[in-house]
Amino acid sequence: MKQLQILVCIKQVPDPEGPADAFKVDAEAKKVVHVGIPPVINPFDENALEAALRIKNQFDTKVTVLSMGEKLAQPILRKALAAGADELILLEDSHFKDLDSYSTAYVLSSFIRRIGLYDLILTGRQAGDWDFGVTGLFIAQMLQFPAATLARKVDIRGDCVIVEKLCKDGYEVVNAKMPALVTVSNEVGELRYISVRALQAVSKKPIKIFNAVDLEIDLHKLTQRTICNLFAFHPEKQCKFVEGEPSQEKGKNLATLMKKEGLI
Amino acid sequence: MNESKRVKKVLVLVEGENGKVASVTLEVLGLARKVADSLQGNVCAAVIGHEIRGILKEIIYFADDVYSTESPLLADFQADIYSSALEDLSQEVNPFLILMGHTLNNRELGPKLAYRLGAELITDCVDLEVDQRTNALLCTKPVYGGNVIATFKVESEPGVATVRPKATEPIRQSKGGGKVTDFNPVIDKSSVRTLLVQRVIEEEENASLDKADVVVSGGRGIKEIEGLKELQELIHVLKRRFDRVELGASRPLVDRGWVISSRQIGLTGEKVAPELYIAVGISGTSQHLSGILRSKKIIAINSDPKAPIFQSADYGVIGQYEDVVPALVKKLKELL
Repeated sequence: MKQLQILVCIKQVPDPEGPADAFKVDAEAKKVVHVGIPPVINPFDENALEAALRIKNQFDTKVTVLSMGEKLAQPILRKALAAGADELILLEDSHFKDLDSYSTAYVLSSFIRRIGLYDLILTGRQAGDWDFGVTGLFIAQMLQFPAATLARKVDIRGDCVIVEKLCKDGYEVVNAKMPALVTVSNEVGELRYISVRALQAVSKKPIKIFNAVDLEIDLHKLTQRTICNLFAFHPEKQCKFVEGEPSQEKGKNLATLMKKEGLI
Repeated sequence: MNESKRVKKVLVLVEGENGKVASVTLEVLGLARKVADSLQGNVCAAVIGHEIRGILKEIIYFADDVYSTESPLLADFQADIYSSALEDLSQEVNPFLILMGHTLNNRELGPKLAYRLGAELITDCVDLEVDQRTNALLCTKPVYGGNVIATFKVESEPGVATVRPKATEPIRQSKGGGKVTDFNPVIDKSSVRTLLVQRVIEEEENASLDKADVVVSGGRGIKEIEGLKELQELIHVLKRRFDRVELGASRPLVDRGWVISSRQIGLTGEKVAPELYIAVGISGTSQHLSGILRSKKIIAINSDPKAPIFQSADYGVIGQYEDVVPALVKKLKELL
């Protein structure tokens, strides 16, 4: 059997698990400003990478990781190499700033088409910044690949990908002939542990970088979403704390309070 | 036809639930009516599936025009076929906007349909408005895990939007007089490129978290799987007072495999709006809060006084759940 070629698309986002007050808004510029939180690989894209690496454990596989942006933080994205990906490719250009889902999919699929050898493309189910969940499916449409979404498990059998996809009250097992695209959900499992030593080992590994000219991108096709309003949202309720000592007493008092306040 | 005189239409994809119109669809219809009214337009409903008579009977009271696409080939949801049928219908109806719930199925259908139509798509909206001056559609959606709310202007016609469940009130008014038209697009089974092998239901009884009166949820703070027993005890005693009390979870318990996916509450899981939400050992990330904001009252039990959940809770208990919950259950048994 020939070597399986998997491409994992990853996006650099400000850590979505960061504290709420780290996300501020520049209302004038209509931009989200994040203070004091580092960029990370979008967590769902890490799940997608983990799914690829598990396939690599079973079959002769080359895992390529692809990211696109205006200016990317290489040390963050190199984590993918440390986890076990074979190659990291960046699509970097000042024109690739704040693109909408359609344009993002256009740039990524332009690269994929030029290389043309991927059997399986994996993306996260959605990105932790704008939470649209659209780009993966648009890539599949542009490349005319079959697509399976919201995977909780991804397996290979012969020339097919077998996907367990989330549905209401359970999951569906679906089967698609490769080349195919799958969007991956957190149920797949977290990205494996990466040691500092593994990170150091890949710190000098060469990375291929392509720009809009290399990919023959039609700049007129690159568009951004029109944001007309943006505000930070931090709910602040007046929480009534239940007192008591020790904690068991608090539990008892909570029940009494629930009765008094008409909750039960 | 004169463009300015053409009646603007909002087309809603209707979803069924046990043979009736799904609650999320009633919420979507509420927003559809709001948008249609501000444009002096109409609400059209698309019912696609097999054995849809019950749904058609109900939906005519909420929509001005109903399009019925019925076939045994449509019994199972298949995004490729459904998006093709909706594309054909869109060409027939020529809507200003196509709306559907942000459900698991439509997370796939929405993008496929928008791509086919070359339409702009805004997913997971919590509000829709029409700009009074330009008549452009404005879609509001939480971004950055719910920490920021953004309003996008949609320039394409039609636009496509998916609507977050439990974010808006269901439609109330019963206009009546909805006319049902059969719409029979060519259904091409060969366009389906993923083969459904098996459907696995993880829970026999439909959990229906979205209809629960009370939800008791556990999070990362539940260190041992045995801890869920304490929550079950609490659920058990609350059932003396409430009809529907359900177990929920934040993402860590689902990732550990202790709770099934369909009970995950939050940005990527279920949205709930119970009378009472009890969060046990849940820190309250914005992603989790996205799923519970419409709860009437929130009680948080957490050992960390700095946990953000307390900023969203009405009542808080700072303490170990292993101590607090059994004592709470014991006292509730006396009171209920």
